[in-house]
Amino acid sequence: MVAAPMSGRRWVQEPLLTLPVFFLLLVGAAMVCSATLLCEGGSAGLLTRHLFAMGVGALVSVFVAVLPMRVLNEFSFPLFALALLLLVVVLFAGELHGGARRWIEIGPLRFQPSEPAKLAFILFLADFLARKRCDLSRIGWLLGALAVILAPFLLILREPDLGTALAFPVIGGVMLFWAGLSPLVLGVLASPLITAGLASLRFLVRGASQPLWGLLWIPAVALGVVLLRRRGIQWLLVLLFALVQLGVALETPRIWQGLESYQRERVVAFLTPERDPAGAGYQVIQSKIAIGSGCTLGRGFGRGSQKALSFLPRQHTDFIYSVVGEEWGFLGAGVVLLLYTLFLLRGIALARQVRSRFGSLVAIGVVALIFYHVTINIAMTLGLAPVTGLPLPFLSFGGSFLVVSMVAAGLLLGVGVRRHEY
Amino acid sequence: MAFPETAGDRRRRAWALGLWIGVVFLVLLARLFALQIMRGPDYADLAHKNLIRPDPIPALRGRIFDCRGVLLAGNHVSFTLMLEVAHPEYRTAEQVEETVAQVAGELGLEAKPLIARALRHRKLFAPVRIAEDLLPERIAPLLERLEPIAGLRVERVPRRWYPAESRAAHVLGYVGEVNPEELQAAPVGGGYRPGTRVGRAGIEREYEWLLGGTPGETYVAVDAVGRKTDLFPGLPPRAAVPGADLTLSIDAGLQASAERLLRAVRPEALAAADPVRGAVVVLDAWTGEILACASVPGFDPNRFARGLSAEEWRVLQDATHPLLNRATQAAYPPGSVFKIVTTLAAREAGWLRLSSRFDPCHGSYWFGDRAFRCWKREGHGRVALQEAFAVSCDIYYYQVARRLGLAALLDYVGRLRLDARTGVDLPEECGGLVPTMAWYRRQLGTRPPEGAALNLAIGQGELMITPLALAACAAALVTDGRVRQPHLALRATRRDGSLVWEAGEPEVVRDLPVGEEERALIRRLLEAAVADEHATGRPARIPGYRIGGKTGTVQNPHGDDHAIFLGVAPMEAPQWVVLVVVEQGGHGSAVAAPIARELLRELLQGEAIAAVAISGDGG
Repeated sequence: MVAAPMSGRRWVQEPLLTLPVFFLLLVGAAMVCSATLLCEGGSAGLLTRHLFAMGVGALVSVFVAVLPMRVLNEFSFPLFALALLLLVVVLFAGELHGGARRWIEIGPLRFQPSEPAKLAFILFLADFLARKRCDLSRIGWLLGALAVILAPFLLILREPDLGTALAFPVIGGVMLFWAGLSPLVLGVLASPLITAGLASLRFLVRGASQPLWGLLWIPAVALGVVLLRRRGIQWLLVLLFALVQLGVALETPRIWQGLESYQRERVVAFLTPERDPAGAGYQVIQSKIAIGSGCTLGRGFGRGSQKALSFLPRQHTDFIYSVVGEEWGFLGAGVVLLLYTLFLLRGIALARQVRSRFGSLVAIGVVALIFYHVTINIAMTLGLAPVTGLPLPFLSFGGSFLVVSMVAAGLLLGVGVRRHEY
Repeated sequence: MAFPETAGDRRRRAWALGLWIGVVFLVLLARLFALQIMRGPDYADLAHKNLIRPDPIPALRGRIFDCRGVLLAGNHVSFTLMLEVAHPEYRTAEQVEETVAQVAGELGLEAKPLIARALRHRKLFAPVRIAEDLLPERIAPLLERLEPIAGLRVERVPRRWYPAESRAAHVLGYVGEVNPEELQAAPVGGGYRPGTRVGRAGIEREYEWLLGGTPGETYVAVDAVGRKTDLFPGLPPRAAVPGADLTLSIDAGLQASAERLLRAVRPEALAAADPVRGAVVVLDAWTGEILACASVPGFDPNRFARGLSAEEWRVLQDATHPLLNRATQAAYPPGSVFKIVTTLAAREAGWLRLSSRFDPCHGSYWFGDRAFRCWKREGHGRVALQEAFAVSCDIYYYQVARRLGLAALLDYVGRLRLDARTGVDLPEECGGLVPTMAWYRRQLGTRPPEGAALNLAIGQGELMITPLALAACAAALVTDGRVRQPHLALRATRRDGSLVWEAGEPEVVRDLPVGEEERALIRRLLEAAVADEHATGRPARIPGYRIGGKTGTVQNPHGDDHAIFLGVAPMEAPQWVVLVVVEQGGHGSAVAAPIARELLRELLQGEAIAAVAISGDGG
């Protein structure tokens, strides 16, 4: 099919994509209003900035949606290179804040380069994997793809910002899976991370019998070896796999000991928030109190006491979902979750239908990006994940990520309406 | 592996991703359900607790009355100057410092400690107390001058007040601010708050549980750092429950007389500037109720309620020990009053009769290698028991003691348990000392000399008994031989008059091993010791009444003799027991007996009723 002229009707044909985003943005604006303006000593300044960022996001997202896919494809490499450059720059010239360098300031503009890097990464990895010659069953291409993933991951880990850094392997993993990589290979690739997680247990669980917890990775690796052998993998490769795991498992404790203290505190506080109610655990406890006190229908718009009296930390950014839970209850929080589900499932459906490999991969990358942020953020406010400082797409106040998530939605929409193009 | 071009492969992978999203979101939804639906009310409660800060309302302390309803301890309003240091006007610590310094200068107070406290309170968002007990007439001009200062206000705080100042101070005790350890130990909720005043001595301490009351609470909405907020309503306050009013057996008029009479004594040995030291106890002999309990020198408990300065505290620690309740916390040798006990011991041995006579008294008595003297140099001549008791002949009792022997005397004295605490409802009562054979051996290393018995017989030497214990035993001897626990509190009532607590029947602590026949003899001897022509107790005589008593003069190695008098009236049916001790007062008959006489006269003539006017004597 030849590129059909863009008609208004075709945009409206994607209501399952646009309506959830529209309502989520509405919820976000309302909640930012409640969490800033309708608080003790609140002012309209933050709300104005939020609405401004929303306007910018709308403009940019319409722009990328209108752009032909070919243009995106061609610009993906320069964009990615620029993103990596900024990530390097921020390590040296970034603003030091809370022990981390994450922000770049250029005049009045202040943003985290790691946020647009996510988009550039999705575009370039999609471009890389969509190439005609790309064959993931060949070690060279696979390593190339891994390099694309690891470059931003390692740079952001250096800032340090573990939560954001982990977005890259997750998004990359989903895109590799979509590109046809077998789950087994994916598992082998992810295995060092899994081994590292298991070897970290003894640092997370205090009071547990240390040697026992620290050795939990051994049966896991053994299981991996058995699985590989049953798939008929050569002994030599299996041995290599086991050796890599051994190395990771032995190296993990040393990394833990070198970890930033605030990172350790956050992870430990996540596991046992009651241990330190005034410190890092305070945020988790107050967030749970806020959400829990919402009950079924919530305390009403603007009436949340946890929010209004600043018991909730960073309530208009990372903990915006706690305000939703407090003021609109289970109903409101559930509807927000449903809106995300609709958006994500529609995104997957579009990725399935898109004929262009590039477009399909971009679509699935956007789905993975939004899914990762939503899951980690909401799980954090519910006390199910450590406090990582990842914002909630479309809802959280925060200039750069709001724009990025809206642009991501724009990309998905653009790909979706052109799903019949090659 | 190539890109999955086949529709089937794409579908499988799409399903896998969709399923994964579904599972993860279902977990989140389940968690939402658990937090909001299942445990929602609990969290709502927690959110509310976050929001509501309880502030204590101090409970009004129960009042204390005498047995006729005269107010002994009450509360009055104290005007306290507070500064709201968390006022939005004060943005920096320097501004607070400046303001506090200005206010302190205006009041003539030292600024430094106030500033330190103000800065501490600023962090807690709590107002700071600048000055207490402002005179009402001082407040208006002060506020006028300080008006431009933000957050300054005058608060009305209830303050303990003892209208008669030092009257019965040792009985009433005093109050002081609760300390951190007590705060820790107090039960949560109904207990103390910082700043609460609690009983520190006397009745105030003993009956804290009745007088203290239960503080109330106001509930204000505050934000995460504790600032008051107008965004949410608080809760209606829980009113404080005032403490119960306590009625004591003390008769304010009699108490005033006792204190006045004690202070009026001017022992010769005392330097003019030194305060007289002594105690008076008046007991109802049948119930153990304490009608008066005076100790001099005293103190003004109002100062404790205000908070003592270091200088005031130092004065209270001086050599005369004004805080000491000499009726319950000091022990004295009983002197000749003890001849009652010696008489009883010999009577029990069976050989002492009213007609018993020994060698005549010539003023001294040789035993071993030393002379034991009679108080009367020229001697009493040959006397029988009643006369010997009445004129308090020491030589007679030396011979009684010799015949009795130290062991028998000690054995009898020990059975009376004069050294035991009486169990009076005052904290920190002391016991006395009654020596035993074992005690002598410990002290001396050998068997005590027989001469010890002679000293003991006339109540000198190692023997130490508190005035209250002596009075309680005397009360038993002149009534039915049963020692009753002396007590002060009669009942506690609420403001509406309903009864909260009542002292039960007088509690019998023990029975003295003294039969009715012996008690009658003692009554006869006591009356003779006042009424007989040459009796030492003659100064206690009241024409028209039958008074009994016994003088005592205690040799004091540190100075002049202590004067003691035990008085009982009316002898036809003993009702009251008075015990007077004047340290270094000289002879018991000259100094102590007149005090007892005046008190007994008041009781007998019902003068105590007329003397309720609490400010009548300027005491």
